[in-house]
Amino acid sequence: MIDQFLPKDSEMGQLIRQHDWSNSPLGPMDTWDVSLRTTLGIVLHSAFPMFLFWGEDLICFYNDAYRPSLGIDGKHPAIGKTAKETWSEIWDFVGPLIEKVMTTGQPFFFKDQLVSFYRNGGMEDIYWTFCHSAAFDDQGKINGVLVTCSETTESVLTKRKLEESERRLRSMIAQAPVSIGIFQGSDHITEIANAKALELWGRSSEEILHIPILDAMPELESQGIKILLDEVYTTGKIFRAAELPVQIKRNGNLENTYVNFSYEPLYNTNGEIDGIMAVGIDVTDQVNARHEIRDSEARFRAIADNIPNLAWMAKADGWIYWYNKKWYDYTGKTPEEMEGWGWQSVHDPEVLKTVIPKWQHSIEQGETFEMVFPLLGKDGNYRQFLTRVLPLFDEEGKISNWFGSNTDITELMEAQQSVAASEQRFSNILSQSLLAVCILKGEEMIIASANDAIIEIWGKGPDVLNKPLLEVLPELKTQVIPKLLQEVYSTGVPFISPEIKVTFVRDGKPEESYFNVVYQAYRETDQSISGITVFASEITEQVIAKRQLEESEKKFRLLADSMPQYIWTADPQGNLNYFNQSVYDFSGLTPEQIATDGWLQIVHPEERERNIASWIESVTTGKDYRMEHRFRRHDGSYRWQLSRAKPQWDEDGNIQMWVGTSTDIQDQKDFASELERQVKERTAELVQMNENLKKSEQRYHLMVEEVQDYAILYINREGIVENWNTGAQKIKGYTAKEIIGRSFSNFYTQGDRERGLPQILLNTALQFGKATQEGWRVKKDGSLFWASVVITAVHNDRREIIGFSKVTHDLTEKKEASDALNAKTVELEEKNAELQRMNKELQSFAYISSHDLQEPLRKIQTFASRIVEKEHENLSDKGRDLFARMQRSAEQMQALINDLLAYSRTNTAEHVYQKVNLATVIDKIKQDLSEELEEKNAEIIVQNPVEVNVIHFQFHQLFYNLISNSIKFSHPDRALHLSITTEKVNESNLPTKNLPQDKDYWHISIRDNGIGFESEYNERIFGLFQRLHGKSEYKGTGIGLSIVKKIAENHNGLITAKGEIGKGATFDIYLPVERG
Amino acid sequence: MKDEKFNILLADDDPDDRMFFQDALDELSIQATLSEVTNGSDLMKFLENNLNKLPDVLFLDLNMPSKSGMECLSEIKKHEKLSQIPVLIYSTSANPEVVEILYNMGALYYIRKEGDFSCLKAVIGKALFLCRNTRLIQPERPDFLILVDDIRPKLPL
Repeated sequence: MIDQFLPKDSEMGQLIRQHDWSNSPLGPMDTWDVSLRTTLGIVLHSAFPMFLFWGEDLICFYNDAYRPSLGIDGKHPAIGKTAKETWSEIWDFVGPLIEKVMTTGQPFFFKDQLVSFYRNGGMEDIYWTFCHSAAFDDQGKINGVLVTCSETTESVLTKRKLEESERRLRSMIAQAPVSIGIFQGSDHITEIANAKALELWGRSSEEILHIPILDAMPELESQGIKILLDEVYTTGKIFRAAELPVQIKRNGNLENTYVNFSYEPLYNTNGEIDGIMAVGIDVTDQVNARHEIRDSEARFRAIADNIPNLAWMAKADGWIYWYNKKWYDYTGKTPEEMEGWGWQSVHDPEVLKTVIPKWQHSIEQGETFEMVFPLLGKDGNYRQFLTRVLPLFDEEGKISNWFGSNTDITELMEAQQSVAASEQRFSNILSQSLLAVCILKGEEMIIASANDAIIEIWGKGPDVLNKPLLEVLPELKTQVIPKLLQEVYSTGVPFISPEIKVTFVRDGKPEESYFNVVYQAYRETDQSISGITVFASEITEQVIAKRQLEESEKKFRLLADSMPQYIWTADPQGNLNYFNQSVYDFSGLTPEQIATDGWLQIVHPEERERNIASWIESVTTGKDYRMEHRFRRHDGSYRWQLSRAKPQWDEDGNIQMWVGTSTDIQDQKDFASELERQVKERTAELVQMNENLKKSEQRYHLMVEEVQDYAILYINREGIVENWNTGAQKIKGYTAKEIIGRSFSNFYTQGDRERGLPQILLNTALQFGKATQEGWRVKKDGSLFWASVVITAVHNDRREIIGFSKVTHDLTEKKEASDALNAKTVELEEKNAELQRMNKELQSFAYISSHDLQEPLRKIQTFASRIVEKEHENLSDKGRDLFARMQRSAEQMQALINDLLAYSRTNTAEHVYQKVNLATVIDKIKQDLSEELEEKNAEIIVQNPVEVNVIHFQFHQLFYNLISNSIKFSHPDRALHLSITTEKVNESNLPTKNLPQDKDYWHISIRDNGIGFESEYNERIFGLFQRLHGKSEYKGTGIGLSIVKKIAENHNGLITAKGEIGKGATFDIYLPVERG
Repeated sequence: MKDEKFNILLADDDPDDRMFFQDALDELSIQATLSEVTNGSDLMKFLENNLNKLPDVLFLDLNMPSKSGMECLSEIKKHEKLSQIPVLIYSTSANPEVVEILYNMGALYYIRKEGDFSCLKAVIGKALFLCRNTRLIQPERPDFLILVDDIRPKLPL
């Protein structure tokens, strides 16, 4: 059989066999190459998907294993078809591939390559791992391509999905609203932690990623987290926890958190656990909120269970979900029986008909429900209850719950009913009741009945019955009560109120009273309202007590806050819980700051330890607390405080609280230390003074005793001599023995005594403290002496005059001398005046004569100059010489007159002092004498020129003359050098004692390098007409330096000269700095 | 310069000095009319009588009988019409205090009667030049006293 190579049970083998190959380019099967048949045999027998392209036209073959890849409604059957025909839609991809294999013989391998083609009724994305390899014909030529392949679409897509799912997982983890962390390995190294996880853990990703979670969060280990993680890792059991309290360190603080979380094992592909996923939600806020709600609910329930009323809560729709204990106690029902609308079972079925619609009306309208109805007790009896139901609103203003209460008013109603039956009995009961009760009838509120209690309250006496209430108590008209009563009367709704204020006028004065009241409609048997029953119990005292307590609390705070002291309180455990305003003012801290950082921050760091110890000691023992410590003021300075605290004990001997005060004792401290210092100082001073006093007393005694020239005696207030010194004995001739005890008037002349001089002097001393007098006194021997007397009052410590000291000096000689002197002085003054007159005359004579002398002299000179000029040629040589000599003489005379004028002017001129700078003066002289100075090649150096207070023109003249002098006597062989220096000197530096000593002087020194002079002439050169040189050698009048001296003296100063022959001269001028 | 002749009034009691002044004017060849009065009283009378033809400048000696130069100056300066006359003091002395007083009284210049005639001539010439060619307002204090360089030949000693 030619088709033996085709497997019989193969679908594809069957197809090949049945195919009509005669029309195929391959020709009938029996013409096929052995190699084709062999290859096909391999292909068709393989369980691995294979495809064969054969021949020039690339005829397609494939095996059964390949068949499924072609899908249901697709290319199959393609056997015998050409490749191009079969794979037309992907020929662009497949064609070149086959071509390449055919030409090169190189195989091509592709892994997971996408080759989309048509199958299953549409284009499909199909992934392949395949190999194209060459197939050879019998001649050994490449004549086909064998494709071994497997479709990997599923595995690729699975892998894709896996990757996608992992990506999604990661992004999901990252974006998850819960915290997710993935820990790898047995060390639980954090691989992934999303933002929520970081937030929960209080760590940054840098702190946590790629390190063991327990290294990053060591606080977890002690909380058992490590054990949990290890357990999950080893056992693979999922761990879940709800609201697990965990302490996590966030921002350095351990914070209590509640977390819902799970630890789930993560498996690797080998099914081994290689990590843990932790999913957590921080539920701290919820837990805390729930705890708070739980607490508050617990509180509420505790209150609700303990009130005497029945109480319950319903949802907005009226579904009752909670009753208080009293309800169950009363009804004897179980919560299951009562839930929802179960309450109907305890109602009177008849009344229920009105209750239900009313309740439903309230629920719909959100209105308060109020009604009186009976409820069945567990004893089988109905009791009447006033029922009020209030809506509770949520934040949006919607009704969230209803709160209902049922108040048992059976007794009231019974009382009311029985009163109707037996008013008298009721009245009796009421009368004896402490409860104030009255019944008011009709619109006018006629007092139908009133018990003693209410009559007493009203204070109007017993005859109030059958009168309208407002007539009896007109003061109520302006109050709220009539309105409330009218309301009850008209609506039948009882009014119940605690602590209602009523003002009654008692004894003409309004008095405030407080009552708990119930106003109840008074119903007739037919249930119609005919009046009002008033129940009232007076609670004025309690209210006032409460008010007073509040008031006193308020007052205490006000008082405490207004006190300059620092006041604080603490609880029995020693926690400070109140500070008055002064504390905040002083410390500059806010209540929040003290609450947060504690009061200890105010205390000086050095005292804190001691402070805590002392406070703990007091708190534990209950002993009074006392402490001196420094508090920090708002400006940062510390002040000493004395703090004291006392415990307040209750009746059982337990500490209720501590009340403490702190007082600023800085000033006392300062004062005390200052006082101490001063006391020390004073003590030292006192000791010193005492010693001085002792010494001075000794000295005084010696002195007084030994003074010879003065009579020093002490006389008492009456003028009796009590003490007597040596001087007194010497002057007055009495011994102490002779005179002590006798009156001091013995020393006065008869005449003085007669005119009461001794007493006059004492009175003067009494009045003015001192009396002085000069006059004749009498010695023991009767002779007189001229005495100078000083009587001084002597005071005791209390400034009272206790006597007088009397000091007498014998001035007899002095008086004689002074009498003579006075005579001489008068004579001298006369002489002086005469002298001054003469001097003045002389001066004016000198001035006038010099001035008048000038006129003719000048004219002589003028005439001479005219002659020289006009008649020069007419004169002989001898005549011209004589003429020149005449002119020189005239010139000499003119200079003399000018100098004399200047000299006399220094006396007569007005002395106007002004401030002049020495430098200015010298500069002016330099200008005046510029020609001469230039001629001598002179240099004038002024050092430290000062401002002097002088008569300007005289001062100018002084220096002019001195400098002229230096020029005149300059050394012929050298340039003139003048140096002027100035310094301020006092008396110790003055060359003479003739000047006033107590002032400062300018010492101006002018020194030249001229020919100088013998030192013996130091004085003489200042003399009038003194000349040291012949007239022919040096011109001059001999007046210049006299003028200089005169000017210096005019300024209350002086001038001295020092000469050294051949070297130069120095003139030292001393002028007072200040005038006068 | 005005074409009219310059009217100079000299008040001096000393005939020699008046002569020197005239000589100086002559030698200076100044076109001027010189009037002379010989004492203070005459001066004031002269001025009162010539209110319509007041001198262009007055040279005033200080030492004069009957009324001193200083008194005259004081009267002139107080006189409504005379106060504008330029007054030049012409005196032998140059006592600085006196010079100061006259400056303060309002004299225009101060001239010293120089002993040497050529100096005298120079100083009078300078004064007249200043009067005729500058504004007739009192100069600064240092320029009040008109000085001339000593042009005398230096005499051998």
